Amino acid sequence: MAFDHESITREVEERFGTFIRERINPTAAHRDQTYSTFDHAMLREMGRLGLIGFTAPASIGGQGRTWQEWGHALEEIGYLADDSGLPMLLAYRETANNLVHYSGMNGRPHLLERYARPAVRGEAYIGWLYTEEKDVLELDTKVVARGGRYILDGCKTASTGGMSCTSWIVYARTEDGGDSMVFVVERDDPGVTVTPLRTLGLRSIGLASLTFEGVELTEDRIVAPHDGLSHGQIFVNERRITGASWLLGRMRSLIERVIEDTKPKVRFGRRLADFDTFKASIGRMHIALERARASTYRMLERVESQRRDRDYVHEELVPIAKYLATESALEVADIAQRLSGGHGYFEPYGIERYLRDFYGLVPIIGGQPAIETQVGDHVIWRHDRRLNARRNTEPKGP
Amino acid sequence: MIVVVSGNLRRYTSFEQEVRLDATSLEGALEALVARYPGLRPVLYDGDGKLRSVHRLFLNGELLDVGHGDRALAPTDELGILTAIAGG
Repeated sequence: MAFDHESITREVEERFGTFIRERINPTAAHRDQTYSTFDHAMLREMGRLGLIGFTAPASIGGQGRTWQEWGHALEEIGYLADDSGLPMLLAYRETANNLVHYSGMNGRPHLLERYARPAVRGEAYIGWLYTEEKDVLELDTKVVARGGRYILDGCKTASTGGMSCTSWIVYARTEDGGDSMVFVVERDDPGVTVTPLRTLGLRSIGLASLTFEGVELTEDRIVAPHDGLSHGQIFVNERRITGASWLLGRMRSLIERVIEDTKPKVRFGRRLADFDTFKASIGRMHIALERARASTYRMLERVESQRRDRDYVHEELVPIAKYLATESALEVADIAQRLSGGHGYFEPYGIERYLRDFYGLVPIIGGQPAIETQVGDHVIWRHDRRLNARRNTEPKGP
Repeated sequence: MIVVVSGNLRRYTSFEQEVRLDATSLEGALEALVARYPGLRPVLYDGDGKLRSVHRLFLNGELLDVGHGDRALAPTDELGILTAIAGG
């Protein structure tokens, strides 16, 4: 049975519509122009409304909804919100909060009360810090055990929401380099420096880089005592699922905006909206949207069937859906620029912001070139394995 | 027998895609592989010595369930290791 998207549309409108229209949208352009993020009062309001904790278990105050429902809800939030940073940040935080819950349920129960519950209420803000300017399998950030404490040193390239985070899940290699550990680092810990990171788009997510200099951590800050790589993979996998769903809503909103923006325009004595070339351009935008939607919905359905085992790490549709949503969004934004003339290019009209924001998806959640390369590698690998298997089972000639 | 590794792992096998090994079991093949390329061990296995979930094993093109370590291998068998698409 097809997923009932309409019921999610109604729910998002009823629960979050007023907040998004009255609290998010009027200040969206200001956040973009000043690189400012959502303040803690606004984040607490999101927690109270249920914009945070949508998929978190009821045991820590969450709503226990499915990834499929959350993916569809993010599309609608993306449609209503005139700030791409909102659904982007919500999708990210949801995954980080669930990772803390997962860690709490796997041998670190004190993390539930101290971090997971406040985060789901919207009263604490957890970031995830793995990435460095290195291959995914290598880390320079180092932790050294000294007299019952752990000393953390290193740098992390970028933290989504870092400017508003109250704590981070941080990955570091051990002294001998043979393993990696995971810790919670709090913003007020001595030796933590948070530096704002200016970006082309998605400015309201409050991106920041972090430096750790001799940060002393106690035993109770350990999230995973070893094998940080596998721990980090849980976050990465789940982040990919809904990381790009909201682009569908943003594309819908942009298409509608271009149509409305064009209505009063007259060129060569005719309404611009009556030109066949205009209609064809809107058609191309909609086709790009539907291409992304088909892939994203199919992926969400597939992931939901594997949710119990968290066994979607090998689900190739997940990075492919992210790839297609991003490319489609860029195509829609590019056409919007060309159709809108000066209105598209001038900042006050807000159309150029879509293009800048959509570029934010190119390097993250699996960079676009990396997805292309790895999908291609897998296709060739599977082709060769099938070919070799056939050769091995064919009867040998005389 | 031969072990075939996918893209992400090749940097740990000196960029060799196919590695010929003398092994008669699945477990023996993986052990011989990490003995030849020690840098591969922490990438393939977690701290408890279990194969990380990001890797899948294929024997002659067929996906293997975990827990088949003692499975016998013939000299012509091909063991494939496919790693999930990476990047966060």
